[in-house]
Amino acid sequence: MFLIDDLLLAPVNGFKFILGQIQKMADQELNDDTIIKEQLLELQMRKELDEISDEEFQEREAELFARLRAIKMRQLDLMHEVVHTKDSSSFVIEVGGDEHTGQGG
Amino acid sequence: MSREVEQPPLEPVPEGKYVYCIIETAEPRSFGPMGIGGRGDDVYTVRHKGLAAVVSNTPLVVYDPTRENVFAHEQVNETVMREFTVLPMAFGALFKTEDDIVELIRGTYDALRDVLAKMEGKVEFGLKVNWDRDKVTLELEEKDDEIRHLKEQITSRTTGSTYFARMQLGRLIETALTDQADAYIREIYSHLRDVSVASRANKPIGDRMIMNAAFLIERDREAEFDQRVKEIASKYEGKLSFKYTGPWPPYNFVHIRLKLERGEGTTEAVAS
Repeated sequence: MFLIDDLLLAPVNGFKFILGQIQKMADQELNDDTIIKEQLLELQMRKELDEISDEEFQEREAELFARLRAIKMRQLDLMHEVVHTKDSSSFVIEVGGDEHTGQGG
Repeated sequence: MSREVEQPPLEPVPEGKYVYCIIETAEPRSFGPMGIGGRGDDVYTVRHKGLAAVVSNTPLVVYDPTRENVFAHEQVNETVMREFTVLPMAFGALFKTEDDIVELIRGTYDALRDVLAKMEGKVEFGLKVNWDRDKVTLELEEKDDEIRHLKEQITSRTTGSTYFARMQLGRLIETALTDQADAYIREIYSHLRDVSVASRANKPIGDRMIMNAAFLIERDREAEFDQRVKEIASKYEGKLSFKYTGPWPPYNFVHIRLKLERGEGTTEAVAS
């Protein structure tokens, strides 16, 4: 009911938007692990809210990780080493966030 | 009944080091038998000139970021942060030997010192805000004249199609909800701004969440920050629910990841 209402209430140009989103999601799902990571986060959230059982959680988590690993393998099939050494790797320090300096900004 | 046959590994998996974070310490330290992997490996320091990596021994296997593994990683960082300012390592960093770790610390020594100085005495808090969408919608329907009128029109009309009016109403409500969410978010940020050092907006998770932010706080201003969160939470009680967590290591403000050098030149771009 809720879904149908939402669809009926959706503006016409919203439909194009939805189609666009679906296409975008399909593209991303193939090439990008962010979607799976978001699904994992959402899954954990649902677990915390007790919307799903432990069993369901573990099953779904395993499934998502398998997909994530497949993507990683595809991205890194050249990377036979996941173990770092002084010759293979270096540290990269990443800093982020918006600094709250003074007023506004 | 089927029986699981446990296959002994054909050859022993080689051992390496798992790294959790970088800290500043002149003394060697041990943080207890809480290493990742469930073997109860001791968590200890690998030092170089006043800096140290917090590590534990582990078989060299790939760790998936499952809840259990991430929990082990975070638990070590949270234990270490009780006494030290930590620069968290990205999850899953495995090294062959202690010597490799020392060399990498040496390679970024000055930058590590800089960032440690910047993070000194600061901790992270997470703030997730969920809203009761239906309640806010109801309130908007009462408050917003345009929405109210349109709604009355639709319900009072006895003949003819209400299709376009309903679409119009949906659009109005959607816009009003977005504006309302933005207004809440702005107000929450501005209320917390001057008691925090920095903030970071992450993507909300699920459709009930309107805000998913991390705040960097001076340890000695924790109580003040806490107070401000309580103020704003009680102001919107019933409409917004605040999930407030911490203190955490500054995961959202600094982390160290590893870059693979491929041959002579590096091919990987450094993301900011």
